[in-house]
Formats: sequence, structure tokens, C-alpha cells
Amino acid sequence: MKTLIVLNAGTGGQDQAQGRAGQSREHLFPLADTAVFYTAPAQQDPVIQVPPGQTTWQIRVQHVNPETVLDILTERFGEYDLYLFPAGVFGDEVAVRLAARMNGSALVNVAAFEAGVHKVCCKKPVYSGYMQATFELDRFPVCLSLSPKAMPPLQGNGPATGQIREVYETGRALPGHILKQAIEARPSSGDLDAADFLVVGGNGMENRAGAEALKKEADDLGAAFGVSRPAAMGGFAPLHRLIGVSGTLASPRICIAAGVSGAPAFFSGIENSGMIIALNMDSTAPIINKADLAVIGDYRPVTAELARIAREDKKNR
Amino acid sequence: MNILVCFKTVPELERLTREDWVADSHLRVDTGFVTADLNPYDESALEMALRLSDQSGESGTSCTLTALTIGDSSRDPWLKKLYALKFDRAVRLECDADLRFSPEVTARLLAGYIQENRFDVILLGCQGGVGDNGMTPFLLAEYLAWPLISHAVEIRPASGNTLWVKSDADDEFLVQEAGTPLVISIGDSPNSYMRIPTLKDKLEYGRRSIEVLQQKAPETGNGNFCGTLVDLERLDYTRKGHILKGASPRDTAAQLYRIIKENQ
Repeated sequence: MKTLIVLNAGTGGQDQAQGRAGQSREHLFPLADTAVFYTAPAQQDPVIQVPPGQTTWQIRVQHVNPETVLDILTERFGEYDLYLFPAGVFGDEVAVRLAARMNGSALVNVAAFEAGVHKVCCKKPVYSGYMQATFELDRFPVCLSLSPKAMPPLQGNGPATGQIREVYETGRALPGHILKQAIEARPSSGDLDAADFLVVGGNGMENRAGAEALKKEADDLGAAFGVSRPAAMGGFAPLHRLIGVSGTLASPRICIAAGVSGAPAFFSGIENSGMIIALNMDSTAPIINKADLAVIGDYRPVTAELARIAREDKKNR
Repeated sequence: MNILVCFKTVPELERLTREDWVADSHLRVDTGFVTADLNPYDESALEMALRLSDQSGESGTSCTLTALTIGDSSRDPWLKKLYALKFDRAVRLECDADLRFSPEVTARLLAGYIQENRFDVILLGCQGGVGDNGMTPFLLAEYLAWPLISHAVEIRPASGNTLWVKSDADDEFLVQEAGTPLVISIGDSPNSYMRIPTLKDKLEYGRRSIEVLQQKAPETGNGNFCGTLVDLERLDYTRKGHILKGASPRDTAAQLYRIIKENQ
């Protein structure tokens, strides 16, 4: 099955694009070609690893926006059976709209797939992550956005031994409906991605003051601090502190989930934790069964004591 | 500016117990016994439309707000609530098709209604629970041949018939001024819970009748856009769930601290 991986190196995502291109092709999709879109001229060309026998197209455009990418893919890269994108705002949109334009089929946030001769079998979470559905797609081309489970970031680098082809698209400006455009930096999730010890607060924090208090206790414990979606949406903490499907997928050695109900969309963000400790008033909250260890009751006096012990421990060392 | 907000209600899935997560022979899970709530992303879309209307009013221009949902009469209390929040029209498309995993049918139903009416802006959530398809805004833009801004987090009126839109773009935010017509999907937008109508407004505006339009599921041609559902299984994340009991918070914390240190 002729497969193309499409990546957006955009204005700041080169590392991610390189990583996903490298690992994806070498280990997961050995027969796929890759198209990498990036902006010019402010940036250097992305350095892409190319495994033997494979081809990468580096496509330099004035603006990496879905309309431009869709036009280029349909005009120049229309011969593939399977198009793969990393799940996200860009990947989901281009996958679905490309399939619609090419009369194919699509799925987003696919956790696993198997491509046969006449169909592609995909698994993805549904019912807010409580269930996993299996779909069979036989309307080609099939366009999939793959969750980090199916297209993980690369660890390490390798030599470029395949073929790099460059396509320069300098003539395409912004789509007509966009009158002005500016890029605003997104605050980094910072320590969350690589945290070894994580404290996550949920709706149980009740307000911004509750979140600030828990964050201070997390600092005392030497832990990174994140929040669940309801807490982020309620404005208790900035959005870049969000843990879960639409935020950071963390994999700490230890995670304390305080006042978090444990909905699947949140749990995806901590499911790779070594040990999960739940602190919750509600003994029937879903997080209790998903934790290794649980304390039933108000988390506040417990985390306050934990922070105090940590401070004393530090002082005595 | 004529604004249409498309929304859906979703069952409160966290109320289902572990035993409830069983698919029947038609690959359906019975969620009918739990209450439904607004899909969170759609709730943000509804509130953002109300704020756009408020801001337009302050600058001397006017917005006409229409709310639309697809489904049976169980959605009517939500539509009445939107009337009470001063939406100008509340519309329900009645269609008995299983729309859980059919975003193309949903998008075609919406596109059909939009093409018969005049709107400048369509707002809808980027994704909805149950199907979690995350495709309807993209397909709607394609079927209408309208431009799209996806995962908006903030919208304001700009000059004339244009909008200022801040949207999530994976590693950064895009801040754009965009012309209409335009489809905008709403992403994670903090502090966008929908306001609550006053009792006075409920009595004064909430009693208008809802426009109900019977619809047949449109033909989608050669197979389903997102394939055929062949299996549905419960995802199980169960761990030990050992309950730690201490004589006091101090005692519990001391035990926890030891465990943390042993496992760090």
C-alpha cells in the first residue's frame, strides 16, 4: 500500500516533525514516504532523517496552513493509498479534509491500525475514552491522524541515507478569508513532559486559590504541577498546565491525583505513570480503581502535611 | 451578522458504572438512563456567540443568533434555555439515523439547513462525546465550500463583517482577522461556561416555540466516511486501588511520604 506521512514542521515544530518522521518510518512504517511542510525564509531547512530506500519531500511554503497543504497534497501527492498524520489540530484537519476532497475515508486520533490489501483496520477511543472501537475502512485513499500511541516521538537521531527532494512553493500566500495573521507563542508545558514526579489537581481544588496552594505544595515536594480539563476550563490554572488528551501526556514515576474524578480523557494523560496515588473524597470516583493507592477524604490536609514533611526532610538533610 | 451555533447534548458518561459498559449486538451502549448535558465544546461555542452578540451591541452593530441541534424532543429544554438567553431562533432537526459514528451525515444535515438559510458565521465544538469523531466542522466546511478556522479559543468582532479569532495551532496560537462566511470550530477555551438565564428572561423569552424540521438521513454514496464499526470493547485501566488509611492526615501523609521515597 503506497503510504505518505505528512508532517508540519511549521514555525516551531521542527523537532517534533523530525522525531516523528524518523521513528515512524524506520520502525513503524518502513515503506512510507514523507512530506514535510515548513515555512521560509526565516528558518533553516529542517534536517530530516531518511532511512534507506525512502523518500522525503521537504516542502517550503510561505505559510503552513491547511488550505495550502491541502492544495499541494491534492495537486502533487495524489497517488497514495494511505496518508498518515500525527494527531493534533493540523493533522486532524488536513486528514479529514483531504479524504473529503479525494472521496476517500478518514479517522482521527487512531491508536492502532493495520493496513491490508483491501481495507485498513483501525482502533480508536470512543465514548470519551470509556470504550475502544474498531473500524474497517475500504474507501481509498484512507487518511488517518495517529495518536502519540501509534506515532510516538523519536528518541535519538540517525544518519540520513535515503533521498531528500525539495519542493519550493513561494507563490502561495494566505487564504483569501484571512485578512491579517500573527503568531503568538504558546507557553511551554515546561516540566510536565519530562516530570518524574507529578501532582495533578482537579475540580476538587474548587478555585484558583486552591490550585495555587496545591502548586506550592507540589513545589515543596519537588513535583511538577498539572491540572485536569475541568480545572483548566474553570480558569484555576493556565491551559498549558493541562494534563490529558488535549494537553500533556505525562509518564512520571509517581503521580498524585488530588481532587480528580478520573474521566478517561484525563486518565490518558497519566496512564503511563509508574505509580498513581489518588486522593479523593468520593470512594466511587473512577480514579480510585485506576490508582495503585488511594486515600479517601479531603486531599488538602494530606497534601499540606506531605509538603511540611518534605520541607523538614530537606532541612534535615 | 447572522451567527448559527450547532450544538449537541451528550450523556453524562461518568455516571455509568463499570458494569454498564457493555455493547449490545448492534454495538450500542445503553446510556438512556443517565442525564444529558451540553457537549463542553459546544457549550463554549454557545457562550462565545452570546459574547459576540454582547460586544457587537456595544459597538452599535447587531448579531442574530440561531441555535440548532439534531435529535428528538429531549433536546427541547436546552433550546428553550437558549431562547431565554436571547437566541433569536431555536431549531431542531429531527432525524432518526444513528449519528454516533456518522459525521458525514451530521455535516450534510447541517450543510443542507445552512444552504437554505443565510448565515455569515457557523460556530460548533471541535468534538463531541460518544462518537468522538472530531470531524464534523471539517466536513461541514468542505460541503459548504466555506473557509474554516479550527480550535478557536477566543473570538471578538473586528471591523465591519470581520472577526478577530485566536486559535490553537498545536505548538503556537494563530491570531487572525478573518472575513465571512466562515466556519469556526471551538477548542479548549477557558472560562467559557454558558451563562444562566434569569427567571424573568425564562418567563419572557423561554416559551417561544421551537422550529422542528423533519429530516431524512442524506445519502452518503459509497460507504461510510469513517468506515464500518465492527467492534466495541471496554477500555480497562484498572489498577490495584489499595485504600490507604491513616489515624490522621498527618499519619496518612507520613505513610504516603515513605511510599513516595521508596518508589522515587
